[in-house]
Amino acid sequence: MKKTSNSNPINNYVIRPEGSLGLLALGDVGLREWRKVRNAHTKNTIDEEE
Amino acid sequence: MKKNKLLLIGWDAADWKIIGPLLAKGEMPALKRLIDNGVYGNISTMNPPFSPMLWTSVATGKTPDKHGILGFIELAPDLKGVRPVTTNSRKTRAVWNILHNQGLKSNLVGWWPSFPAEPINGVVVSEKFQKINKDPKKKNPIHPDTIHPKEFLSKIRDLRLRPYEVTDQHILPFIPHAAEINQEKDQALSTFSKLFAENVSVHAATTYTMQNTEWDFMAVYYDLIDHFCHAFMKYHPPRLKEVPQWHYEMYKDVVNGAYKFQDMMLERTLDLIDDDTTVMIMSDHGFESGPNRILQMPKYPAAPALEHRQFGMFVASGPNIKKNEKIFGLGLIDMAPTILNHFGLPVGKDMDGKVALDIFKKPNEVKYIDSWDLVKGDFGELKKERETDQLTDNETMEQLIELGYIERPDEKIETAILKTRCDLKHNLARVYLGKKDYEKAREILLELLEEPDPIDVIPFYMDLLTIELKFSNFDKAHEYLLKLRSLDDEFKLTTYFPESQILLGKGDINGALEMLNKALERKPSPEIWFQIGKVYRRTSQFEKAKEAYENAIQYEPDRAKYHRALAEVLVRLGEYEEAVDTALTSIELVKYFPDAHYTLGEALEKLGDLENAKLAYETAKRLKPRTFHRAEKAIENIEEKLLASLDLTDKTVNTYREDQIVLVSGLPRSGTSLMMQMLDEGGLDILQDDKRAADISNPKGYYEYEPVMSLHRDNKWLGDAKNKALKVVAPLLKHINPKYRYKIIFMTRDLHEVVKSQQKMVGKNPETLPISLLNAYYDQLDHIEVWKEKEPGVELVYVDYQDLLNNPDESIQRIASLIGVELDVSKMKSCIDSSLYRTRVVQETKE
Repeated sequence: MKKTSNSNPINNYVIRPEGSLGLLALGDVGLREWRKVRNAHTKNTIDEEE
Repeated sequence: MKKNKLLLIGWDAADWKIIGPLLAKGEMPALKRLIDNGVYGNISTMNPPFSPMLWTSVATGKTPDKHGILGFIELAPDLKGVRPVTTNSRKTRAVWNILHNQGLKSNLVGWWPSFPAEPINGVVVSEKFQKINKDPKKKNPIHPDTIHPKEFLSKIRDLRLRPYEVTDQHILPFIPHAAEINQEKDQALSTFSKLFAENVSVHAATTYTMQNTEWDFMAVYYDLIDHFCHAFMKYHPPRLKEVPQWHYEMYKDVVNGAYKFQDMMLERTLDLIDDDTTVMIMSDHGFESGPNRILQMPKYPAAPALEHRQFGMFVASGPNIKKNEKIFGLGLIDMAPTILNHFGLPVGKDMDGKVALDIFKKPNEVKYIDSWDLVKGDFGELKKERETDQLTDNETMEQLIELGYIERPDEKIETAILKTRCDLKHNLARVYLGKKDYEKAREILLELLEEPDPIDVIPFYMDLLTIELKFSNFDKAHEYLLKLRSLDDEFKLTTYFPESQILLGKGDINGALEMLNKALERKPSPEIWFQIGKVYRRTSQFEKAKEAYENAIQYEPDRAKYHRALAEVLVRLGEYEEAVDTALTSIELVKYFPDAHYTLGEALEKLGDLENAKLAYETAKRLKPRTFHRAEKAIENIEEKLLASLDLTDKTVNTYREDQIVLVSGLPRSGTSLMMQMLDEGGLDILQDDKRAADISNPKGYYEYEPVMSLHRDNKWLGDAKNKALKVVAPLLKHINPKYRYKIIFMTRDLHEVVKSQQKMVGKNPETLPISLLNAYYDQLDHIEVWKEKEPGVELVYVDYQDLLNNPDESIQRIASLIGVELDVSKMKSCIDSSLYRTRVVQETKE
């Protein structure tokens, strides 16, 4: 079993606006980083105060 | 940094049948690593296999009748509506409440049910968090009770993936030709996106919580596999002939994709724990992926659970977990006791589960407490019932409806409440059915029959029919069957099994077989072949039984009960080596299967491997929850054989056995009454009631005992016959209670004479011999020969009526030797003399 990973797993990914399964499998960090790239690309954000 | 942490991951419906091939292809590497470093095995589910009930059993160590979660929905506290099931329905403490009381921190993400979030020491992200409406125009406010502590919401609020955020990059690995789908006609992509998004949200909340909180215990629940299987399993390879090729090609990768994505998420989760953390992954049940897949779901509540299989999967790895070992005999209710034991805490004696000691390298000592529910103090429980959503919790309700778990609640609220109340009550009855408490189940079902319209009583009658079959009340079962037919013609199609059982119970073997063959013609299934095998086995047609069981195995090779049944038939056929192999296959599939160990014992005993046979019988005895009387007797027999010289031909005889019951049996008019009279005169106590008066056919009386007539329904009274002699007609012998030791004197007589005598007794022409009756008697005698061999508590000698009359000394000697007590031989002989005299007088009168 692996030890707790200190390195940022996102560093292994090239993040594209359309995202990937691998990014979502990273959990919170993957979802947030993907949305940053996607939102920057589309200039859209989702209202988190809904 | 916390030590001795435990991470429990729930994968609803994960099944080894799908996982196995993926592991072999290296497509679930994270799980593979855990297995290589830990233990793995089956975990058995409970009935009915409804997920909220099962996951609450995991969390409490108790069956649903005790924990109170009885379905997917519940009645609102003010009894004015229905809503998805909540924590409020749980009436016992979960493991996280106990850990809270003991000063340990727990995190909970997505557990079903965990809404409203309980105020425990730790974080609860309840299952309502991830629910988002498919319609992008709709708002998705998060209910204030969704998350504990409330301030945690601001940290994870953005971690919900919305279905409409799902892109082709997410979809294509599962559905490579998704672009060809006409989404106006086919809703599969919409369903996919919603289910996928929800699980990504659970995972994102999990990884955030793992990294940003201190915890001792963390439990996470994903429904990805279960929900994807319900939606797409029908398209999984191999293609079912009813599934159109186009649909198959489009969706055949979705189920495997769900498992692979689940493994990808596991990979990340494992990255976030340290070496001191124990990980357990489990499912609550398996999922049918073979020929029994259901293409068209019957229309009754919770029908999708029909696709659930008996065994889920379990994997554990950690510093105190054994390495690369298969474990056996685990059940869902064992999880809570095992978790408590991991933390060195006592197990409630009111818990139904046990600590899975087999998984640990060095198990903690198991300590007990009467009940955690009786302990006073802070358990992080909800203070009072909250007036949370009623019919307004549309998202969850819609999803349950879409998956087919619940019907859309009736618009008339009174009707919705009535239906929910009845559903929950029915589920409770089914829990009792699952626990084999048929009396309690029947009581509830009979109450449900009194419910007014529009309650559909058909499912209640179906269960009542099952119960009456369990009790061998075939007349009552038939009554229910007729009732079912009168209620709904369509149910004719689903009553082949009970109908064949009724026919079998009433002795109509051919009728039962005809019924099962009809079912086979309609849709072949392993279970039908198994039932056919049982009919043949019961009628001692062992070759045909063998063939039927082999057919069942061909359809479904991993059902332990099919292999066990085949092994038993092979023993009867004298194919002992094959029987050993087959019994071992059955045990390999389900180790904790007492009957398979018993059959293995029988086969080994026949092969002369007495030491191993004894071990097998002992295992069978140990595994049976109640006393395994046959195994006990078999062990005694083997011990005697091991002490005595090796004799493989018969069981040890001629020893008086404590509390033995002497049975006199045979076909009617074969001299059984004479034998009873002899034993009576010889000094044995007789169990009889004199209800049938003596007559010309039996001037000394019949020596009968009325309860014998219903021995097939009730054999508990047989203890009254200990150290006595009792008359039991041949067809009823197979119903004797295996709890006792029997010495059986089986009277034989030339069958032509027997039939002639019977014809005469009933006033028919003794010279006309009904051939069918004669053949039936030959069959019965064959059955007795096989039956005596398989019953370890039975020692049997045949006494020929004519020999007894001609050479009484020799016969009486054999009888005395069998019974093992001193008998008054001269008085016994005097019975024969008077019988001979009577026979002579009758003959002379005739002349």
